[in-house]
Amino acid sequence: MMIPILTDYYQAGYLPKPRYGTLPSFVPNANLAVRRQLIEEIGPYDEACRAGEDADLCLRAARGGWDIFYERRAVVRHEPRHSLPALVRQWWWYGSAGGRVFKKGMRRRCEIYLSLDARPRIHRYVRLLSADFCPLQVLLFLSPFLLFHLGMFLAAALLALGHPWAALTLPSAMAPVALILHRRSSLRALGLRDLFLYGTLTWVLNWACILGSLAGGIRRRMLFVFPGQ
Amino acid sequence: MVRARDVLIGVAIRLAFPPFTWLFRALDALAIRCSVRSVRTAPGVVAIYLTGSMARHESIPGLSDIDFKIFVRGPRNRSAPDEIRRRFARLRRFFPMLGPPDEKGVHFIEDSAADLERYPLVRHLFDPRFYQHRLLWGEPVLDRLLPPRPEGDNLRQTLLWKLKDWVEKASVLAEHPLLAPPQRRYLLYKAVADAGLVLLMAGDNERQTEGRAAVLRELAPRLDSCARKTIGKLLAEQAIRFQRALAGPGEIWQLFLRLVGEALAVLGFAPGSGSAPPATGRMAEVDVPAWLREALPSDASVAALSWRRVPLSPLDCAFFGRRLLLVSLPRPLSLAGQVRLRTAARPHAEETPVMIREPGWLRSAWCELLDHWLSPEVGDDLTALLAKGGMPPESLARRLGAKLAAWQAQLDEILASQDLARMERPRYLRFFFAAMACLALRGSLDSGDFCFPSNAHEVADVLRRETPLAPSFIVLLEDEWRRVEEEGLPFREALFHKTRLLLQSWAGLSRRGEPLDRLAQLNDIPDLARMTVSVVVVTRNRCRQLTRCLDSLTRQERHPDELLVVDNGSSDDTAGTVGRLRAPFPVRLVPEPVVGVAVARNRGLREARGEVVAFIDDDAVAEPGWLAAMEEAFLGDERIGIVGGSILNLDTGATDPVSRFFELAERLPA
Repeated sequence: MMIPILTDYYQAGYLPKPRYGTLPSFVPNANLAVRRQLIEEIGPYDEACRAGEDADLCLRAARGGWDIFYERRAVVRHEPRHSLPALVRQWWWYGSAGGRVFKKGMRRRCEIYLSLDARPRIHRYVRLLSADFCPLQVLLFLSPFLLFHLGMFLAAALLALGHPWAALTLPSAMAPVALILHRRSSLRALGLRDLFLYGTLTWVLNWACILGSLAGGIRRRMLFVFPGQ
Repeated sequence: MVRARDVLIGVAIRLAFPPFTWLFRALDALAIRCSVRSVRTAPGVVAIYLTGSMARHESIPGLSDIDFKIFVRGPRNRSAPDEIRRRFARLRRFFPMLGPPDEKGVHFIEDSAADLERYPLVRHLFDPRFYQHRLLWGEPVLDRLLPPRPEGDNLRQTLLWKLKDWVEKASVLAEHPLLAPPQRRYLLYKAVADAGLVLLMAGDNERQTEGRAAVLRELAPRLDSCARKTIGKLLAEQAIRFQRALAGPGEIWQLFLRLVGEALAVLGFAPGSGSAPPATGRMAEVDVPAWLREALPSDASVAALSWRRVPLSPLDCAFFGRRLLLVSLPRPLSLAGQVRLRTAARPHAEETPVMIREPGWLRSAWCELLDHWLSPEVGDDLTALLAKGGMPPESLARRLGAKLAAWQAQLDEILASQDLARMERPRYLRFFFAAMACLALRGSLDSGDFCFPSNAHEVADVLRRETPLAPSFIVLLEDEWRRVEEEGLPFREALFHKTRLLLQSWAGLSRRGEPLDRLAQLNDIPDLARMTVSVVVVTRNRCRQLTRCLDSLTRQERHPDELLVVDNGSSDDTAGTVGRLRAPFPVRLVPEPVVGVAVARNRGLREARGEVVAFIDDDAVAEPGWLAAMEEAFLGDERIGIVGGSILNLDTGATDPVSRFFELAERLPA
């Protein structure tokens, strides 16, 4: 999986335009410059956002017809978090506070997005379902990470219900996909130790983000799942 | 295929009785519902209106075309029409009655307002007397777009405009190969009905209604019972009549021409010839001049049309008032084809004017508005616009001269480094537009007349003549233009928009054309290619990291014009850190007691004075080229509102697993 905050994850140049069924891309706050006219037109940052105000601003700008440009040569070096708890807390925070931004952008009561892009392109989700008839406000972002865990959970449930052979089919179907994904991703360049370190930390951070988003969603009376990356 | 469609439409017309009428209506309603569902999510869409007879719940099964007017926010949202067209094209597979996607009216709210201001005649597009509107989705914008005019609008002019519109449309659709015959007849009927409508309204307003009605009766037996009815009912009545009679197109055409002639006479544009129909008609055999035959694609059809003069607006000067050749094209021409056609037609414009209509002819009115914008008469407006900015023309000319020289130097440098292929796109688009506007403006200021070049080749000619550019650069520009064209951005629109924005920004005006307060500051800056950039750092209790960050800012290649440190309720020595900073630019400490990233950033935005506000985190370090790269990106394109940059890992020398993790994350290729 990927850490979007510290790598440059876009092609240099114009960020993709918001298209039908996808969420607009954004550039993070830590290295961002705005034109004053843009602020005069679409208003300043949303002060009620506790996190993700950069995504909110970019979303509004893109919907207002402005272009967002990613300039690779404008480099800022950012100091990483020092300890694991701080990092986990940061990702929990992203998850729990990010709900507001997405909730503002929602147009229907239930929206489900899917991202099967194995490359690190954050916030390029394809709309899978959007409907107005839903008892609860639902906003789900499905990622390979989430789908994998969902499959594993299903397998465990089948096992518990007494269908061991049926339970085996799911992991065995998923194993080649996981292998192919791994072969195709840049992770194969890592050694075993680094892969273990990277995988474990990513796993922890993704779960921090998922749980954080669930908690944030409950606070806003919606079902919100954001799987990090 | 076309035969099958004709047959189907013919059948549909004859099935106009229940339960088929119900079925057709239900299908139409479904098509409308689906269109709204699909289109309303397009970026920037504010309102969707249903227009035409459908808006009044009057439809002829199988024939009524479903017309939409879609209002889009944002003068820069130029991708919206394409997106909407794409969606309509997708929908049309299931609902053929939606018609060609090109004909859906997409209007930019801001631009519409400005255009309505300038060209009151366009009001008829939004006028409920001519087009019924029904709001399907969104907020009602029509009332805002069409404020009531105190003295009543110029009905005569508006009617004429409408008439002219119909003359163009009707002349095209009499020949249009893509329309099935019943459709063509239906549209012709609409033209007739509208011409009759114009006649009635004009008569109502200006002369005695009774006399006109008598002429009408005499002219067209078909319309006699309608003459006394209310104007709104005319269309529906005629629809039913037409549907029953299914008159031949030739007949309708003649009727239409006579009605138009009559209407023109009523409106006072042909004094003394009130009852005589214009001497005109389509000619089956037209002798196409050899030069035109060579330039035309083989499948274009040519018709001749004679018309009397309608001195309505500058738009008319080329076509109306004489015999002209109408070329209708079954498909859009390529850029090269257009250029060939135009260059071929130019020397003969005096004796044989040619009117070219492409499939998207419904939008021709807008194109011609743009034509008008780009015509020589606009020079005055532009001078007025520049004068509004308060800059004396001499200083502007001097500045433009200096700017041009600077650009030439930059270009020379680029050309010398042989790095053209890798030159980024926004940068040379910027050169292109800027150089063009510069040349145009300089020319206008020197000689007093303003003239934009009207196509890429002319631009290249001007560049070749005026600047010592290498030919390869010009080839590149032409290439670039072609790409712009292929992306669907109409040439004139892009040209118009970009140059206007550039000129405005140079004259110290905002995008909306209002004078900016900072004009005074702007005048002090010697080079206008430079923007004022403020850097805002938001900090809270990170004294050590802040020192590092501020140091990196003082080491920038391009110094910020001001630096704001927003102190978001720190309890440590932040104030002292900022106070100790020695920098060659003004540094300010702004305390913001309310804790919150967004609050602090907004405070920074409020306090900052620059045209661009760059943010950097307090625990980050900027590379020396950071600000220069940011500024360059903004200068490259006026439409860029936000620029982001790379965020890399700061090497602190730590070896713990978390640091190792970040190192790995950075090392993995994206």
